[in-house]
Amino acid sequence: MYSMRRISQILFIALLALAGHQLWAQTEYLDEAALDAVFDEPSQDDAESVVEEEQALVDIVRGSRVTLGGDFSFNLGYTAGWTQVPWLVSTDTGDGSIGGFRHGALTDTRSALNLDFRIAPIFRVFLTFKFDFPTFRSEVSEFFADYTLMDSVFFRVGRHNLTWGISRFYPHTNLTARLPDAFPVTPADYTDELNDADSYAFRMTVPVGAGGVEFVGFTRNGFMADPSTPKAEDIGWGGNFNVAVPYLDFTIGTFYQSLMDWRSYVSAGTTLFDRLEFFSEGLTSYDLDAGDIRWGVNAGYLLGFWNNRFQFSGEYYYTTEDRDLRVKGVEYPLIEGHNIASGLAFYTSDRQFNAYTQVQYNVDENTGLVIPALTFDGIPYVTITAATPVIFGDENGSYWVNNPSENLDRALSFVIMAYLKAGF
Amino acid sequence: MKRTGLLIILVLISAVINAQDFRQILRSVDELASYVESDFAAEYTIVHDRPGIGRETTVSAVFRRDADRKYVIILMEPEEKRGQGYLKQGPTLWFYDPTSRRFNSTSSRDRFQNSNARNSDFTESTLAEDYDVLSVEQVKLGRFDCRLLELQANNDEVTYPYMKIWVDEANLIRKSEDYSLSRELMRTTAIPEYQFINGKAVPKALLIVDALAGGRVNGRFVNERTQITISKVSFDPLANSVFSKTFLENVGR
Repeated sequence: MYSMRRISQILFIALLALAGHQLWAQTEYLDEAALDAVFDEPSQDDAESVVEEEQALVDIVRGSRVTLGGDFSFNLGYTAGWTQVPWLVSTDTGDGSIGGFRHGALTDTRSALNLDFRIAPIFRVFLTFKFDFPTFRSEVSEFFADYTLMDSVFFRVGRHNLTWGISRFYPHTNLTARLPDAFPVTPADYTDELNDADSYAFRMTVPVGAGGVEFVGFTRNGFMADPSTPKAEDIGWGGNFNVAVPYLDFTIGTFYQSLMDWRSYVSAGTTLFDRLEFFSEGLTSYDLDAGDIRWGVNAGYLLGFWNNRFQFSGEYYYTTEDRDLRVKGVEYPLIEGHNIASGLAFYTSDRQFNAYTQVQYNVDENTGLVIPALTFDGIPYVTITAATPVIFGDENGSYWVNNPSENLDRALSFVIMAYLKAGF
Repeated sequence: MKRTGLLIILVLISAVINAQDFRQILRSVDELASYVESDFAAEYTIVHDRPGIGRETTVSAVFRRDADRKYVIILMEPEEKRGQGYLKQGPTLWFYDPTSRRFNSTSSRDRFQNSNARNSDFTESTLAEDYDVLSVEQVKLGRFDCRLLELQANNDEVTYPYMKIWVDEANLIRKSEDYSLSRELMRTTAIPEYQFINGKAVPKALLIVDALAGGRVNGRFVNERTQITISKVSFDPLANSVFSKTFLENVGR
């Protein structure tokens, strides 16, 4: 008679052997010296490799489980000028001094925990908890539930962000990211209202082909006089309709919240010659109080070569809007008139070394910003980035004026940062 | 003169018949490697071996609807890429990044997750449509008796302009070599094992050897390799919404 202990030992060894066999099977052929040798091996007859169908993989992907994930980053760097690393938002100076010319250390430490509760294939809850040092700020940055009705209607409710539109340089059609003028603008300051502008949304999506129809009810902390008792007028309403067919990705959408203009947009994108992504967008902004209509259009491209190791991008943007686009923690200057932007990126084949440059220029004001940057990713868990933002053009232009006041006479800044980061 | 004319006509007729036979081989290969009558779902484990650097493992769920030329791929591992996904519809391929919550169009010809597999490797087989047969010969490939077909693309939509494929007696591809326009070998793929589910053949494992990429180990150049292992195969019908952007957003975050 086997004892329970003996049985559990046998079971453990059996499980270990099974896992070992699976791992071996996944790399079985990688160690063969000559490729044709894989055909020489005596193998079980293929006709005997008849296997049963498995449980539907869709249910496995969406199946019941709880996943704990997270990430950690420690950032250390030096700056002479900018207090943020370009393309990495909200990199604080560490001493609370934001804006202005400074030279000295940049440092912060961040961690995040993600909990993905897949209660059933049709229902899950997702939560992200973040903590930041030295601000000691902690927040639940995402907390939402997904529910699927008969694989046909998808609901997402809770604290989460929505992303609309195509443009990266001038995301003016990202309507739910826009904030009223009343919000103060100090993007790197964790204590201001802009960084508290968390978004809450009810979203219902009905897929139609690859695209679909989306309806949203959306609000932010700053939209509500009292976040604990939101009123109907605090909530903005909108939606979009996306048609995604071969060679055309077309979207039309609208959004209105009482503190902001009523905005509507249309966007179209296509991929030509298997390499060239081309897009164009248009926006109207209607001030219901003043009866004033403003508008903007943009068109751009992204071209990749050599397995996208070389990437060129360019965009033209014209707007009659004189407002900035502010997303939580970030500000995109949307300068009235004709704007041009361009980007160039190069990755080495092992993706360890990246070089990229971004240029933005407003024709009407003769003002621009160019940011060349280098990134080295060759050390495990460590990324080193250096950038040199340079402002050029008229000293009354917006890029000069938006420069921190103590930095007004300096066109050139320098920032270098090392990130120790890991995810699990 | 009459005899010569007759001979030329016979040769031409023979060439036409041969061309038809060769195309029929490709059609048979396509039929076995495509699943037009049903949807297809499977888990793909992709181990990419970079000499001198190490091995990376990617696990993804693949959903195909060959009748509509659509597929969806969801990355399940590694953890930092979980929720990234691809949606292909006809010639258009979108990539979804759950971090930015944006869709980018990308190229079918590009490498899949920087491995030696291409995005086009996950779609249905259309050899008879895309290639003409230049030559056929009977060869031995290990334990298999094969026909070696040399192919040339008849359009520029394909990933490789020239190919060689080894087709066994059951019309299963056992090996392929992919060539550039200048006929330089780009990569070699071996399919030593198939699994049969409901009478349909699905590769059990594929070994891809990149002819160009690699690294030096002990002073010797060693090619990059990728093994793809296919498991959890199902031909159950999938909901239409699986082949939508909404589905990618839903299984991501």
